[in-house]
Amino acid sequence: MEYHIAVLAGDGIGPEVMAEAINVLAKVGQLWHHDFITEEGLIGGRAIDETGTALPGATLDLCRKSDAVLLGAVGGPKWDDPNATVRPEQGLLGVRKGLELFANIRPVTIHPMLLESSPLRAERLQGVDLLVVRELTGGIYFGEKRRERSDQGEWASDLCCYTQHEIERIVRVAANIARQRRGKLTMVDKANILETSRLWRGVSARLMAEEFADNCL
Amino acid sequence: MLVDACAMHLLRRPADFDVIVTENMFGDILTDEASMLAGSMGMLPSASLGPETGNPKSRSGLYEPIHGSAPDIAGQGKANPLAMILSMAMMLRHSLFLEDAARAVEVAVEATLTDGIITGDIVRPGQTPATTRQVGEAVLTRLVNQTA
Repeated sequence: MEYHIAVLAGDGIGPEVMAEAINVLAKVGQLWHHDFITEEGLIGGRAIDETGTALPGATLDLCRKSDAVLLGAVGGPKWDDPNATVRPEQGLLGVRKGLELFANIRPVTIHPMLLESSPLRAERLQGVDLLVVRELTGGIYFGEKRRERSDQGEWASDLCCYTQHEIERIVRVAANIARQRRGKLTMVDKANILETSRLWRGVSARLMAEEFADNCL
Repeated sequence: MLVDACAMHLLRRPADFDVIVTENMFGDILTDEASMLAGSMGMLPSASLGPETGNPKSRSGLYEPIHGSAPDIAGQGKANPLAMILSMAMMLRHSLFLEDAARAVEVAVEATLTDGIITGDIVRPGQTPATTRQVGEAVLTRLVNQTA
């Protein structure tokens, strides 16, 4: 099979760690008889230096036509002015938005060699193999924001909003991953306080019953 | 599970968790807490998936290490490439549906660690740190040996 991979090495150590990952990817291609066709794109600080924007249109186009995107890292002291209008991390946010990346997946495992570098005692860490699926495009970070003055002084609010569709698609991602692992799925919320959390519980209970009933999740 | 209880249980009995699913803000906080269990940020990969389109060949996604650009050590061959390599393995699994290859890369990374071929961020006192390139080459060798 032929796969197109967008390679955005970025800034700092990004290019050198990316080079190693690409070497391993090429070896996977040889061993499993796949063609991985990699194409590089500019992002972050280097893109700002060369094009004036952290995410050139050509890079987003490349990401859109590729099967997947590898990103090294973005940012550095050269572009660190918090008041600058173009900042390296805009590149990453732009790719997230442009590809509608709504499900963030972060696995955590601890190799026995590294047990002693953890702040927790080694015996508590035996067998840790977990994965967090975080919704990335909704909720309070993206709801309506207000800041106003009243007679009593300033006030501000952030709206937390989730739709049934947003909840269904993220729970589906998590349940599919759990099905391929140990089959245990924990939904984390604040359903004793938040209405959005109660919607999450209702929607996911229905989804699990309809689509994952026979998977003992 | 309520988020305050989850924050406690992640420290008290982390091995009991398999998959956690949560909303944006709680996830922001809990992923950082969970990452600290591993001690070093140099080892942890991440993925961000796009919508399912019914394409049987691939699903759009972005794969990146959770560590930053570490400009202070850039270009010196000191950087730990394992989080990037593990991110690439996640790409094989979640975007390209190549589970066997993904697992093989992960096993090669585990073997590299077991053999003590590691960069300065995770070496123990008295151990000699390997370079970025040496760690990458060690993963390659172990990947090939596994499938030979």
